[in-house]
Amino acid sequence: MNRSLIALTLALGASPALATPADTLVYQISSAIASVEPAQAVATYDVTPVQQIYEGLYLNNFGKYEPLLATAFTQSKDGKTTTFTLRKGVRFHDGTTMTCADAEYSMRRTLLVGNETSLAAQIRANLLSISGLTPEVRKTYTFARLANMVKCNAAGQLVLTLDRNVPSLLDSITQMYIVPMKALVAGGDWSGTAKDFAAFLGKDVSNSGLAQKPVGTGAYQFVARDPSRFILKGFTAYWGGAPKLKNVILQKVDSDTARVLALQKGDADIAIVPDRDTLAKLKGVPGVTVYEALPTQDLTSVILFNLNIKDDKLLPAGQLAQNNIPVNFFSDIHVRRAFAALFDTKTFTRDALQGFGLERHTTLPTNNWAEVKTLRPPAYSLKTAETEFRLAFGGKLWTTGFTVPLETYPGLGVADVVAGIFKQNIEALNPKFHAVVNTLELSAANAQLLGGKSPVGALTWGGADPDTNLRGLYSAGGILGPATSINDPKMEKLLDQARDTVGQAARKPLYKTLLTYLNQQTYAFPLPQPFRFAATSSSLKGYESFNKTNLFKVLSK
Amino acid sequence: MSAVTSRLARQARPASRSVLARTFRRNVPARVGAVLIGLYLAVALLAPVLAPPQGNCRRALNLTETQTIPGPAAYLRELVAPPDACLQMPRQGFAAQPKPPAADTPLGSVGGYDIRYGLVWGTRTAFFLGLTIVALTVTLGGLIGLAAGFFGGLLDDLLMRLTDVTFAFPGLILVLVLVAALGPGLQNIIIALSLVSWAGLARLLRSEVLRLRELDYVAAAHSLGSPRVRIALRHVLPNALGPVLSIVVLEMGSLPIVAGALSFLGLGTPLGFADWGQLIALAQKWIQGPPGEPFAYWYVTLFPGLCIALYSLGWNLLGDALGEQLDPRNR
Repeated sequence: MNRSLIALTLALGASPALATPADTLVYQISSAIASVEPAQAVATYDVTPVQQIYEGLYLNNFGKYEPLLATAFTQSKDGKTTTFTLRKGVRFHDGTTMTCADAEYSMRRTLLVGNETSLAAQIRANLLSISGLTPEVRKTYTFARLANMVKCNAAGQLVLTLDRNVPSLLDSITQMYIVPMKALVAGGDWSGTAKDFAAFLGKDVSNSGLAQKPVGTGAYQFVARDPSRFILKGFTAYWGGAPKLKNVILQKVDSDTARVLALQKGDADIAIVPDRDTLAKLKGVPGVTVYEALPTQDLTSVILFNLNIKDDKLLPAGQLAQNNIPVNFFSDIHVRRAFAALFDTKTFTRDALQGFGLERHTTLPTNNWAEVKTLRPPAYSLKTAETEFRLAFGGKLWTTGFTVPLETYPGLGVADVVAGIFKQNIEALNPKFHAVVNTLELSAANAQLLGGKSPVGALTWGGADPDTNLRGLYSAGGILGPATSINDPKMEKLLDQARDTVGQAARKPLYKTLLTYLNQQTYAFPLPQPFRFAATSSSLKGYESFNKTNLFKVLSK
Repeated sequence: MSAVTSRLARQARPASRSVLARTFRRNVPARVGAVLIGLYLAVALLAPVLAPPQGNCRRALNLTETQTIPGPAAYLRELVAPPDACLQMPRQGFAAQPKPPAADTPLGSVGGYDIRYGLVWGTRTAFFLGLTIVALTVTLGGLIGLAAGFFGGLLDDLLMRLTDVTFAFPGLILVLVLVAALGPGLQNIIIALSLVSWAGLARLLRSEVLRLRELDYVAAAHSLGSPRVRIALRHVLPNALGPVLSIVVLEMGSLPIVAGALSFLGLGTPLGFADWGQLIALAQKWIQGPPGEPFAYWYVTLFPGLCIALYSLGWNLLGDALGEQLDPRNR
């Protein structure tokens, strides 16, 4: 008994850090993988496996568009027609060779299927300006129109003909994944003809045959999945050469602590780290590499105001009370300007980002070509905030007071700091001003925001083209339309003009006018752009490239 | 005459001496408990001096710029009916990482919150929470136990089945469900804990009432024509309350732990509210320090932990001593 106890003690004491196999990547994530249907996937952990299994004609390598399944493209002078030359000798995971018919079918399918929250819907909105499949849209959007839009020419090139020049065309092209037509049709998917066009228009394909048994041209092919694991293996016949890491296991681990411990013990190669405080604890741990300041591309963090909040618990428009706010609280420009002036950016960068934040000029991503570096976002000043509050609602707000509800999310320290700064400065200004901070689950908060119920939203949004960014953030027809409820014809006109003009040089001054106007209106204001952070096992190489491409094929050990 | 009076008085004293006095005379742990609780009481009463008002609290109390400690009127107001701003822990910065004790934060800070302020004003919260819940529990449990025990019959059956239903759920789980349904906040914690804790007292009181109602003095009151409700409230209830006392005192000690557990699970008081549980919740991520310095943030867990432990110990020592004293076998 004693001897076995000693043996056990020794075994426990001497347990060495066991590393994952050299040809295998174990990636521990914090949330489940729902659907790997390429037309649907928008959530981070759905997109990650999709990008390994499927490929588009081009790859967005941190703002640089690199040829993938296409080798080159040409565009007509008016920007409406684009011709892609396809790569030869590309094989699907089922062994068949990719043809132009597959590319044609795949792109048509992306423009056909997918419900309103799908990736396909975002692509339709960008390329075809279809923001929703209303009965009117369904009448005019026919198979004939789609077939004319995407077709193969006699030379085996893919020709895309749109109604107008779309500046962010390549951004969408990178997300239109090529799938094998024959396999899909045989599996009961869209036939590729007019016959079942109507049945598949806007259809939620999250549970399609493709989602169950994914087949693409990517460097990794699907092996198996269960609720907590998703397994991939390297595709030996990959056109770009088989990847260095032969196996990939995406493992869902709920507990932040368990993931971090797995990384320390060598049971994981990459683990999602919840915040910078946890990251700081991993610094100096043997066998772990910490990345503190990875750059981001095309992302913008902003605070948005909702001009017409759809919440029954709030007061009707125009009414004021110390214990509540009216639904149109932020429709008053003075309230928006006061809130923007209340936000202490320096404290936010110091306390939420531990200094790892980039200064901002407008609500465009810092790397965007249309960014106007001479513009300044609202400066932190309690005096300005007081002046603006005294002007709000004809001077009544200052004497009546208000209580504004703010939101934080569990495990998201950045949101706590945003709410904390607002609360402290609001309440310091006037004893009749109050802020109540509620903690909401992230999914509930998202639903609340997109349902137009949140008075203030702190979020990160992205896109390569300024139109994708600004239309998404501000336009009534954009994805955040319900969250902002902005009704500004002048702004919409400026947005349309800037989008429809051809060429960066011609568009740039238009965006300057638009961004100057937006800064004045303060519908939103930018937060310092956070750098990304990550922790991996020290044996893993190429994480910086992975941060840019999101492709496991660039990783090695 | 005076000598006779004084002798009579001396003789009478042991009989009339309260249970409390007897407890302290015989029992050292009880004295330790009383001293501890006395200290906490002193902290609660001296809160405006030990953790002077800051920021919006100063504004709410109309303090002048040179004034550190509030004047008598403001002092009383801060103690009896503190403005909301005074029950918020002052915050220096928003970084989650704790900062070690310094001149302006003698017990350190976590999440930017001053730990000293949270502990001092949290004492008031602990007393307020305990006394309110005990008052509600004793009233509710007492009335139910008395009615069930004294009147018996169908009413007894109904009330005791209701008690059984409450007992059927594990206490903490039921509190969690209630707080989750009502929403976090001090008021809702009080409601939830009161709704769960009454059942034990009701049962205890019922058993005591069942014994007392059969005694001769109750029968005498009946025969003198006293109404039943009057007998129950005037003659039975006061005599049945003795055993309840020790339970109530023990309850006072356990309540901050339950409230702390709720805060730890994110269902406690609003963020920043001066409350011990809140400080424990803020300390959650910092129990262990960075590699090589496991105790780097010792102050974050030690002070709030010690504070809750000693408070609980004080009430427990007192409660045990009272229980012992009230046990007839020990007389």
